[in-house]
Amino acid sequence: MTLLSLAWANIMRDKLAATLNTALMAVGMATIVLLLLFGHHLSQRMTQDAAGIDLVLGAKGSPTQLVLSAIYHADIPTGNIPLAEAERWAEHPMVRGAIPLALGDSWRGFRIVGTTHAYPAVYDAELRTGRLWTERGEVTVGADVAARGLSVGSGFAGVHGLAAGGHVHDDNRYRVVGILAPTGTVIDRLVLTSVQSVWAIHGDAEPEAPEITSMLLDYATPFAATRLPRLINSQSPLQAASPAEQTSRMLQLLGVGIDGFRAFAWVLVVTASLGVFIALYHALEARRYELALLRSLGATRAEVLLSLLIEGMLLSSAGAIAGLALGHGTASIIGQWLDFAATDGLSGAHWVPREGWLLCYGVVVGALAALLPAIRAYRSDVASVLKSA
Amino acid sequence: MSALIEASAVRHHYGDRAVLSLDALSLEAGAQHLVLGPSGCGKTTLLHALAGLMLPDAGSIRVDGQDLRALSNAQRDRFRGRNIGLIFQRLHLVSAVSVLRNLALARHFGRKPPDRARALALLDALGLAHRADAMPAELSHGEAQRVAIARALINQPRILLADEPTSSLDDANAREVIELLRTASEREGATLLVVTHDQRLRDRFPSATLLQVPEAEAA
Repeated sequence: MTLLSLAWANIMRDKLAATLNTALMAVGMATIVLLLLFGHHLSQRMTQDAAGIDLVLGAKGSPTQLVLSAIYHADIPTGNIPLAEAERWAEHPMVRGAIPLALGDSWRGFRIVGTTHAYPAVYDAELRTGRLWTERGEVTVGADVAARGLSVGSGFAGVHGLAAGGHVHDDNRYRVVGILAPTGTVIDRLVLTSVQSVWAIHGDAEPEAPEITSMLLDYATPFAATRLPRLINSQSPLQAASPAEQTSRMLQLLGVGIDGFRAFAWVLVVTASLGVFIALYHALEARRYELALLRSLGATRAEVLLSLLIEGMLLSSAGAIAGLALGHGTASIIGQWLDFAATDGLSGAHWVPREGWLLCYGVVVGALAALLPAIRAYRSDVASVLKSA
Repeated sequence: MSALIEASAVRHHYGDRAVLSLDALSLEAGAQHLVLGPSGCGKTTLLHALAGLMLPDAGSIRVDGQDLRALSNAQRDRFRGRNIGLIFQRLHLVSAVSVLRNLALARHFGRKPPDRARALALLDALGLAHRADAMPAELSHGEAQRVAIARALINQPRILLADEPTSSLDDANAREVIELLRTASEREGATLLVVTHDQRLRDRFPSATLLQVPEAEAA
């Protein structure tokens, strides 16, 4: 206890250096924490959004684009497909469930999706108010969409295209009949209606050769995963893409970017560790006589070594703790104030297990930075230090 | 009755230069003794050797019957913390903590339980009661030296060793410091040994040893 308070008193003697070191360490740690939280949040979001959907059918093109457009609603679709062809696969014995998606319009950047009631069921979405759509022109909207000023009974016109600024379908207005409770998934940002409604907006509610944008499939058996995609890709004009495969590919690509940031953050942390080292090294030079004095009072070599290690660990773990706090604070601010789909719902209240390791690292790096000065103190000859004073 | 300090045939070298040569020194408990000698006679080395801060090249040193050479490094540190109070020539306080906590540090490293009342009583006896919470940087040289004396006595050591306590003081102050050392160590029951080159102290101690600069030994 006395060693601890002695170390603390020595740190407090040079508050400026201690503050600078702590701040430097905190910024590095906070960056790492933020990346951890963001990466965790993103992969969780992506996994959640794709959960319960085994295969996506769509027009031929990039499988990544197909998954991005049909699962995450984050890219334009690869094209349209004949409903008849999609239904042929939906009825395949290896398929348990199928959900059609008809895209094309949006409202204030939120996509209008023509689908069936099975789609909100995939995300366990519950109604907050109202009901699900039944008649043509009726919509049920996600929680984020409703937050833009929609309530049950409101009407709006869709815009052609998936971004704001397209042709406005003034003649065909949608009417809100229900609002979904927030789910933390992509469906919060969607406007749901029937496939017929989407067809009607584009001219013909009962087309002769009906087309949809994509079809989401749910396997009846795990064997389907190896056989069905190959079968579809070779025997039909459609493309089949696995959300699980594409998602892990995208997360990998994203991971490269995150790794780059992380390397930068580690540079900050290592710099801070060097700061701790330099501070202690200088402190030791200035305190050679005082350390010898402690020895003359009866302190053993080991106690002098320990007091310097404690000082280093106090400095760096203070930086690590401040960094964790800063990282979580920043995550809260980003999650609350920035309106990106990717950061939506990012919260500082969530803790990732790897942060525990960060804290350990903080303590260890402090001990390492103090080790060399501490060993010098350990080995110094008290009698000659006292004589030279 | 065996002596409290018993040193014999103590020799020490730095490289091939002899720095200390003492044939015999024996002090009874309660003695007040002066070791007097010119610069370079090995006074400080002798003090460090008696305190167990270093081991001389040759000779035996027994303190309270304990052969210092027979102890491990850590045991010697603890032995010193418990039994020996040291006062150095120059400033001697841990600068990061207050006067009172300097005394507490000595208790801690002497493996004795904290005793705030004793610390305050000692400071009071040395006229420092009002400086208990001062930081070392706020003290005058004289005050700092008296705090060092208080700290050397806090653990009720068997022996108080002082290195050149008067070297930078005028006559009046030198006399005052020596009186303080003598009365304080007597009151605390500690044996006092002062090493110095200061001839003014010669007649202020009941006994003295003259230390000579060691002659270059023939190879």
